[in-house]
Amino acid sequence: MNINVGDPIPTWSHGPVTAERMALMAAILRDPNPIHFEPVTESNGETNSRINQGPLNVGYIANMLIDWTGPASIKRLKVRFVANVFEGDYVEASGVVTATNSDDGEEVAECDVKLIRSGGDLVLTGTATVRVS
Amino acid sequence: MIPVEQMKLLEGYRFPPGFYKIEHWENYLLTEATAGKKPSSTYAHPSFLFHAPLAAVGLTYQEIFDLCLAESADAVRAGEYDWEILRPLEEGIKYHAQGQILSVERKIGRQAGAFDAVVFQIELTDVGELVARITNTWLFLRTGPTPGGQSS
Repeated sequence: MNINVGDPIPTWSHGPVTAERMALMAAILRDPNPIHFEPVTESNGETNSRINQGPLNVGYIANMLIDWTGPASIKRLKVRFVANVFEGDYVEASGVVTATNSDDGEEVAECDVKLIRSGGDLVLTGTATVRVS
Repeated sequence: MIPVEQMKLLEGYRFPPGFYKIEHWENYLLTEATAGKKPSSTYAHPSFLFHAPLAAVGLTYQEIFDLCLAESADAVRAGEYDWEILRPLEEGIKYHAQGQILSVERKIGRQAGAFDAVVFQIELTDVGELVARITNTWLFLRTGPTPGGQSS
């Protein structure tokens, strides 16, 4: 696999984010946080949308990397959560190669990664190290 | 508001060691939840690095909420995740885990207001060999007067 600094990682898109997938994740994680599965009706009658789990948002970045370099390629993933993803949103994971080097005989790529949601809002930003050999 | 000094007592708290084995069914379902491609091998989805270490040390989310004196389940947010993967996780392997709370810091956010950033670190090993190290920061939102803190 020929990788160069500045190469974009093929984007990974998904949507709409559904309440069903959030509920499935909540059940797997045994996550009791109601923001992921129980819409709240405010006093003004408006209903709050469910909020996607952080591990799902990171999972979208992982899916992008796996599709690019394979299921065993990720060596490090470091992310910071900036904003929430809500049910009904569309998301797009993207990234760019910032460096390439050799680590214990493996060719690796250092990458900047990010996740944006509907409207272009930044949701998550971070860095990834992946095997490319 | 919970005094920051009380939260600081959590620094160095060591989780009881334990183990976790990722089953095929949960790898399949978690991958489905992420809308990822169905597993074609025994490699587990990387998002297990959030769940497996905590489950391995025997902590439910509710127990973490209780440990960190969460004001409610919906007053908890994700901050940062740092996952170092020396070997990809696989289904069917009994990973041993040990870890601790590294730090607690009271901060003031423009939107969130006061919150405690609690940093957990857990290592997964297989037959004594380090497989992965996760360092996750959880944010516990606080209400009430804010005597001090650092802007996030």
